[in-house]
Amino acid sequence: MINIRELEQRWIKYKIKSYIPYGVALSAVFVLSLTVYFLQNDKPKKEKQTLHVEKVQPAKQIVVQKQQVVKKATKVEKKPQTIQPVKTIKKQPTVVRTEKTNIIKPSMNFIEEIENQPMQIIEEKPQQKKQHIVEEKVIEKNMVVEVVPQEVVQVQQEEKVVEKKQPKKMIKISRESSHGDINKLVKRFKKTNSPQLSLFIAKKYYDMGNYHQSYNYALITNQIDYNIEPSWIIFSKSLVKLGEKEQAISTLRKYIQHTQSNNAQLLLDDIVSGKFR
Amino acid sequence: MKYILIALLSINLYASIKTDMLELYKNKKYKEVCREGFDNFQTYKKDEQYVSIYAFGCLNADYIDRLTVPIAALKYSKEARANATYFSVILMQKKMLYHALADGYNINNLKLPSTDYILSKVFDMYVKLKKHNKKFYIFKDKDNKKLMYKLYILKDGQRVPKMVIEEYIDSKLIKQHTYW
Repeated sequence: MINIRELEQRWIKYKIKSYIPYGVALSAVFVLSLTVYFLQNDKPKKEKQTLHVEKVQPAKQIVVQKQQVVKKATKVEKKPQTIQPVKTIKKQPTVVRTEKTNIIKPSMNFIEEIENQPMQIIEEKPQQKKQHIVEEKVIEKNMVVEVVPQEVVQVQQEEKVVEKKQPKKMIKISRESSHGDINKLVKRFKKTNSPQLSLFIAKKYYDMGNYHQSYNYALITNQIDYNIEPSWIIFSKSLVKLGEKEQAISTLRKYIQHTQSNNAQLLLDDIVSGKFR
Repeated sequence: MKYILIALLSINLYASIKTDMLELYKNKKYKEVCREGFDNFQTYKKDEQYVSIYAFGCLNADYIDRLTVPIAALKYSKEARANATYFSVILMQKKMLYHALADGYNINNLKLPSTDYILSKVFDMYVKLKKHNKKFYIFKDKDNKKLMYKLYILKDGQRVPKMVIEEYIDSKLIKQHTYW
């Protein structure tokens, strides 16, 4: 007797086995198409660099699901070649993952270091150097040289001639403060930001013949408090000494218009007439 | 003796260049600082104080691209490296923001380190926006409510478009920064 049931079971098994290659092939095609799809989507992401955590995480989830599908569908095909791109996705957004924004602040200590350096003396013009030489000679002899106030510049150029020409109108030239002292004052000014102190520094620099610095500190004083008359005077005088006569005149005119200052008017007249050079 | 004199003179000149630059910097003449720093860079490129002041001059003059040279040179001390990082972040943010505005480059929700520089502030506010299809963007400063920034791209027929950030206080324009 033919056992029909047994034959039918065998036939079913045979049929199932015959479908397996088709199933494997279909799942392989499906996996391949998914892979291609993700690879193509991955390229524009790299280009755009949208390193967004929220966008990246769903991609991972999809890929994990995809892994599960692969495992279920075909136990035969265990090679995770299709999962390779996922690893690259994981590595990309390393910069983004920090939720907190770090605030980077610059370090400005170098400014103080430059200021505190011993070699801080500003490059001096030959004229100024001459004046320092005169001052040093004065100190050596423990004497006070007397010269005309308006002729201080001329002393720088031709000291002997000036001394002989106008010996009547005199001022004292003495080296009262060294660069070290001024540096201390500058430090004190930085702490206090006092306009009186900056004006004092400006005057000191002016007396020393360092017109560049006297201009700077007069300018700082004006910025702090624009109502200090001596500061504007020093500012204008320094400008003249630095060869910026026109600018000094225009500054003084504006100041006079604003304040009606007599001292400023006198200085302006002197500059215009050429008395103050 | 001659060589000693030359050496002393050169040291004096060197110090004076730095102090000159510092004075210019304090007087807010940033373009001059940047120019001077650039001119003498080859001579003093290993002095980080010099390079730092040069870089900050360029930064405040809005010459951001010129920071590339100091960024590479600032590496010998901790302070210098911190400043190099600071400049690098600003440079990167400038480039990315410019690219985003000029070419529609997507920088949505991008998180980078930030700085106190205006470009960084605007960058941070720009990346938080959902849509980037406006002709110009207005941002309010977080710390100062009166301060506003206007960001737009200027295509004035020149070869390259320019990115403009304008600072307004009480609707009055106080400063304009142009980058390209």
